[in-house]
Amino acid sequence: MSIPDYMQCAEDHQTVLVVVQPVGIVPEDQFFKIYKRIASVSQVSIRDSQRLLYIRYRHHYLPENNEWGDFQTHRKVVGLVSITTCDSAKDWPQTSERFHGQKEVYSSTLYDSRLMVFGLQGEIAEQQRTDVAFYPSFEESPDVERRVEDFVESIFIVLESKRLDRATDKSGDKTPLLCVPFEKKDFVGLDTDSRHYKKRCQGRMRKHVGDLCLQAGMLQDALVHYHMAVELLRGVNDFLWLGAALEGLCSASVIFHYPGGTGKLAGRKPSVSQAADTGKRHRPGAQEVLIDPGALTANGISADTSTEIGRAKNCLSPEDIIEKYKEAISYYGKYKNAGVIELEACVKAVRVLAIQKRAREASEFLQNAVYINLGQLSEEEKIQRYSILSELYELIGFHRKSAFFKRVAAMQCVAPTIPEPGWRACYKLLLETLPGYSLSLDPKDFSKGPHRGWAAVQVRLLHELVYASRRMGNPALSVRHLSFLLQTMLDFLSDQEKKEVTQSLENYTSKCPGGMEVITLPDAADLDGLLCCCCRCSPAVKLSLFSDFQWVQGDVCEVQLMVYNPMPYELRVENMGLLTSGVEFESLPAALSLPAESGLYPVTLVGVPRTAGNITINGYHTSVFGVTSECLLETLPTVKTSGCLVEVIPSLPRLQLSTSLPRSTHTVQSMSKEELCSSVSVQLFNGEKQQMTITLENIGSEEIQTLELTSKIVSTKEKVFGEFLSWDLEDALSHLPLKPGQAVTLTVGIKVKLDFSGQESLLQDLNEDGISVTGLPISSPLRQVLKARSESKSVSSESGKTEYSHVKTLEAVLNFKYSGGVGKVEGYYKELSLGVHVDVEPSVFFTRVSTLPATSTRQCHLLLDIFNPTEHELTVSAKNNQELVLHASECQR
Amino acid sequence: MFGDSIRKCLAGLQGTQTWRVGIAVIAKENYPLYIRSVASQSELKFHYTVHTSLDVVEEKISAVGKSLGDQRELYLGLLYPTEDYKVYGYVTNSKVKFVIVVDSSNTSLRDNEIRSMFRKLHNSFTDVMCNPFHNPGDPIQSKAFDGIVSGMMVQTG
Repeated sequence: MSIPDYMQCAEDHQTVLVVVQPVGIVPEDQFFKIYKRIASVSQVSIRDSQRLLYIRYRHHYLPENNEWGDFQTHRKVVGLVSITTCDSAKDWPQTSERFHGQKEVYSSTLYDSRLMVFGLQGEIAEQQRTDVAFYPSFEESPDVERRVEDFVESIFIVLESKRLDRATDKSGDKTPLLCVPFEKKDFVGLDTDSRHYKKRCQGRMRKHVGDLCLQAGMLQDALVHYHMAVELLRGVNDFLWLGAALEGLCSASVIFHYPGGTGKLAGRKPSVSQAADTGKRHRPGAQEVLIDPGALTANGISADTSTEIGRAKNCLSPEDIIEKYKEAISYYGKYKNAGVIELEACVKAVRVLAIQKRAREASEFLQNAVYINLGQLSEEEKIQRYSILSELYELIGFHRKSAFFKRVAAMQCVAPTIPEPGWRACYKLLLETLPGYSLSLDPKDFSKGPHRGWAAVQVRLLHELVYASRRMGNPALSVRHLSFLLQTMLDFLSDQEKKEVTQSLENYTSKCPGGMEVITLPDAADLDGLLCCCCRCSPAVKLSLFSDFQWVQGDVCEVQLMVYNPMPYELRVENMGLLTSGVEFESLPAALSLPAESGLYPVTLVGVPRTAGNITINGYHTSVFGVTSECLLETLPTVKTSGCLVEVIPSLPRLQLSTSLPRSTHTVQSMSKEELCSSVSVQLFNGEKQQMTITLENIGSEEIQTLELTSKIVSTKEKVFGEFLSWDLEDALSHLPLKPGQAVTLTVGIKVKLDFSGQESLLQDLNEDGISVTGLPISSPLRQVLKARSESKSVSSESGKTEYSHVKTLEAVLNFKYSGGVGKVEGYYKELSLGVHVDVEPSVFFTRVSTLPATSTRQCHLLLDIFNPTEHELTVSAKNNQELVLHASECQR
Repeated sequence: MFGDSIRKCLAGLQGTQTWRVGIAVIAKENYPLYIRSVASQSELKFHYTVHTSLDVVEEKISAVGKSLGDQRELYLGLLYPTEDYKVYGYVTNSKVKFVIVVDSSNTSLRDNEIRSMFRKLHNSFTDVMCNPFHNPGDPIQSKAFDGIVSGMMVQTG
């Protein structure tokens, strides 16, 4: 016996084994349909008794294993059901022959057999035979189940007679020695008359009767027989059979304690077994083996034991079951050839312990099972064994161990010794290990919080998944796992590893261009919606929008994202665009290159809404290393908002503004709401006037129908005399409506008149004698009109500023309001603002005022010391048309 | 034989050299805070060993949890023996786990020595936690702790 049945559990000891096999040509699906129907008859209650007979069906059973039937009777094939098709009567003899041939295989152990013939009609089918059932077709076979029940009953009759026969075998003759296949040659030439030998025979027979009782549904009798067998066999040190007797005891006790079963069904109805468990657990004295010594008669076998011994007392307590299992396994362990028995016993014990929730002891059994040597195992058997170990570990809640063995099984699938490595199977097994390593491929799980689990082993597993999927010939899957690896394990990868991972990612993506969106895994968890964002979004996604958070249909809109590159090398992001919903939106993808380990880096994504309505910005899409990914804002753990709603209003015209003056980088301060689209700066001397030409061009696609202009002086504490900005809009308005492409010019006059008086500090610098005189540049009766002769202000501004810190600033905003097209109908308008920044320099200082008596007493001369701080010549004119020419930086009287 | 094949399977993956001793500190949430083994080639194997031992640790903790009130014994004892090494466990009251793995052939180490190793480890760990600049849950990078561990490795390895 070399192939263990890993699915065995303790209660299988009470079942009888029936093999169901096809004979001749039977379509597979039809066979399994019938097999399923037959297998549904798994217990039969026997008429005239309250006993139940349990049946285990197999469609494949090694005759080799059958030879162990004496050792444990549930391994014995006692029933055979053959299924065959037969179309005509002349095929019948041949079919019948085949059936008999098949019976021969198990002939030594068979109690009864049946043949089910499908398709045969006519004379032969008319005859009533007990061992053959005829059905016209697979469909018309209503009484298959009833037939099977009859069959089981007939098996029971044989079983019962065997049991009684063996149990009452009081013949003074020798009790035959039962033995397992490998023992046979050991007993050749043994003294069959010795007391020792006789005891051995009796013990083994007791054990055998126990088995039969158990199968026949006489649990209590079985327990008694087992107990006796244990006593007998212990006396003669027949360890293999002692082990079997102990195991039988365990099985019977398990059946008694856990009627729900310990096998596959156990998991389904835990409440049943639980109730039985608690109700029967503490049974004082249950472990005491009470066997009346009188029952052990001379030949050791007594027919009626049940009356002599207290029933429940023979049953082992749950703790004892485990003890006895341990003992049995240690006895099995003495025999090399009983490896399968030992292994199966371990598996059975583990299942019992799992129900008892004694995981640690179960793990000891499993640990032992790992080291049982079954000789040369085929690769397939190895895989099966690792898988079953993994399953059992799972059963006792050792998820990590389970994952470990599953992984070993996966590795075994692709072991170098296998000619055709099963990468698909390997991949499937690897996927199953994910939960054991607390990994989940569901993006919902990993975005929930900080990283969980053991990074080093997780990284390894993911690498293996990548490799397996590549070998499976599915690079798309590799890409997916690689990007998952990058995304979740980034913090745990070294720079070198990051490089390697991304390199292989690029390799794979080049192999599977396009079609990355939908990857369905072969029979695995649904991975849809797996997102990868190699450049993670920063906590603050700043959205800066035009037009007071309203977008205009047909206009280019911008969204600014702050991104960073966590990679130690430059990252090339391609095809980055916005994901939106609600309104038809044309996204204009951008490509960018992020420097290695960049800090926050602003990226502006642009697009054009094509229709009016509400638009929601859901996220963005990128392409990195050839991986296209879509990133929704709501899935980013660091971003609070779940997208941004923007209203798109109907289309409006667009104005472009250009001025005759140079643009400046000055931004007008305290601009809260309106964004300035541009600003100009100019430097003027006090009192100077300048004309600024503003050209307004309609660059949109709609007509401009209205235009308004307002101005506002901002942030100045200075007194401004006169109008700072003046314009005449009439001329421009006369050009309305302005068609697309047309332009209109507007002249705005800038005039600065500021009060520069009171700048004592400057005057003190200029006058060493320290007499302070107030300069009255403008409002004095001697009002000066100043004319600067040079236009090249920009040249002078530099030096002027550095030398004198008395430059004053005037700032104003010109606001253009315009509207047109569909938007105007709905009351929308656009604003365009132009900042005007003027640096005002003083043009003349009166440094000193003094009086001189004049010729007439009623008059006096007013002497003014005038200082020209400019670099230009200037003329001071007084009322009496006296003119004084002042050269640059000159002081004159 | 069967164990052999597992070992081969592991060895094939992670290099053949085995470690003689290893020490791991594992956070409450079962991820490593600190991992140290003598031979670095087979580090992944060490990771696997410690990782699977957590099953037993958890089982032991949950078993203790049922008996209320008791002052829990922090030392968990031998978690499981394998052919090559023995795995010992220790759990602090804040559910931080210490795992020491020693070579099976190392018979000089008794239960008492292992116990005192854990105690030393715990004391040093407490010092690390007392560092106001250490963020609990972050990997341990303390030099002092490293020193203590190195000392133990030299002693036992």
